[in-house]
Amino acid sequence: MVLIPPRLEAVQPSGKAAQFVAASLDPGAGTFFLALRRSEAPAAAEDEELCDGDLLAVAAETDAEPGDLVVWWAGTVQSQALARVGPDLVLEPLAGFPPPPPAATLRGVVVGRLRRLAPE
Amino acid sequence: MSAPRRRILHVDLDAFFVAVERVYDPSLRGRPVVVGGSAEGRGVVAAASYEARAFGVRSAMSMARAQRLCPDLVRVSGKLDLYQKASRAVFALFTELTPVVEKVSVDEAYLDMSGTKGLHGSAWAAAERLRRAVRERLQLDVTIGLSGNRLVSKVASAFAKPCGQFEVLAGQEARFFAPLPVGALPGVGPVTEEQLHKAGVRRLGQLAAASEPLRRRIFGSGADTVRARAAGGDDTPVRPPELRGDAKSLGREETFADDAGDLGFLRAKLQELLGEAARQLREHGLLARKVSVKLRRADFVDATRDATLPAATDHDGELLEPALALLEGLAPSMLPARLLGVRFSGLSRGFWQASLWAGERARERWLVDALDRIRDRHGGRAVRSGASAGLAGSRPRETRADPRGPDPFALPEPSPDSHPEPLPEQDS
Repeated sequence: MVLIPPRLEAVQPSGKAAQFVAASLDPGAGTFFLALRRSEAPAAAEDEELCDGDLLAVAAETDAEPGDLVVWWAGTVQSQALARVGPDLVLEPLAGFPPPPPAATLRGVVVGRLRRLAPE
Repeated sequence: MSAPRRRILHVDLDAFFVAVERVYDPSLRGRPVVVGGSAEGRGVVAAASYEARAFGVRSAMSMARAQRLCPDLVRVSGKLDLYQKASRAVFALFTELTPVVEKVSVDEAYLDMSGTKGLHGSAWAAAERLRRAVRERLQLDVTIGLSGNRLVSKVASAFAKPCGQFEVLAGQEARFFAPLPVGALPGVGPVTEEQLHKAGVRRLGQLAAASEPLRRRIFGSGADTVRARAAGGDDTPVRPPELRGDAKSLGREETFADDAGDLGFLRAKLQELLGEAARQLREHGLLARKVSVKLRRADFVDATRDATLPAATDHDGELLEPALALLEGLAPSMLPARLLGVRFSGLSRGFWQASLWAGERARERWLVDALDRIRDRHGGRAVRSGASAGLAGSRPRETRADPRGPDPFALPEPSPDSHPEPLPEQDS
């Protein structure tokens, strides 16, 4: 069986969230949304209660602290992935995402998550 | 040792009045619907469906304007009793999750889920089950904001509307708030927002970092509080009704479709409104020491009179007698009237003590409790007494039978041997 890794996809949220994002949008700053796409359920211990279709609200800043849920990337949108900042500031992979390569940089800090009854 | 992490849900029913109407009349689904009074009767929009909002229709807008904006608008008369019944059914689901429920309004509440993980799993998972339960059992949608405090949960639920749940992750409150417009902060209205904009403060992050003189100039003694709030800080507890003592007054009022010049009608209407308000007193475990009656004349002149009672009470009969006397005193100079209101103040925590009541008084009180139970099940105007009985034929029906079967909002029957409790049931 081939495991398909999860991915993060840039989306424009619907409903009220769209108004907030539009009102808060600065070039290169503010909050943006990424939809989680996953077909496999990872082990429960690292699941973080994240489901396919969940929207992650990400603050576009790189000043993360231990315990923060972050989005890292290797320069391309296809490489975006989730990780948790460990106590020693090492990025720990979670929710089925791969461990970050040495060249990975922080894209932003996840500040919230949105789930609707029907996934977006 | 650090304090345990709080988990607070802000739960908001989506387009509640319209959604309840759609449960009883599925033909309203997908159409632009408003609940409110008729344009001919000086009505305003009390609630609008999302389809109507797409046309610019908003709550508190005059019905005439709403109909101009959306020519296909479907108007439904409001049925407060029906909404209260549906609300009680929803709140019954809330209390399956936690006893710490603070009712904000008929369609909005805070739930403190702190310390319930062992029972319900994570607050996030519990919120999702709650949304599904409300939809499956009651055919209504709720939106939920989740965080470690009331303020952030309130803003988060606005993010999730309609029909979603949004969690602000622990420790990310300030980051979440920072890029939001200052107007997103509850309590910052258009005037304050304008003042902040003139001072160059447009976002909550800027407000949190603003100088003290600037904050003091705009917010006065609330300067420090607003700095904390702008960074997503709030330690206000969730207070169930029995712990909340901040209500200054409560009451009911009604604007008539046609100006009323008949004192008999006004007496009957006063009895009806007072009965509803007194029931609200009992629901919140409150006693009133003062009763006020207000009339608004057809030419928009208002007059209010009040009376102090010999003892605080929540009993319809003890409140009605002075209220009727106040109405008699006001009426000669205030007819025809377009609005009648009754209000209770001097509120205190209290409950009925059987030992202080005897004979006829005790029997009356048990009757009041029994009537409350009937109204809980069948709507606030299902049972009328005295003069207000004559109003039944003059008003639209308050409840309708569900053509598809059992009433989805009916609460379970009390057991046959249940004893009338002296304390009112909470509707949460």
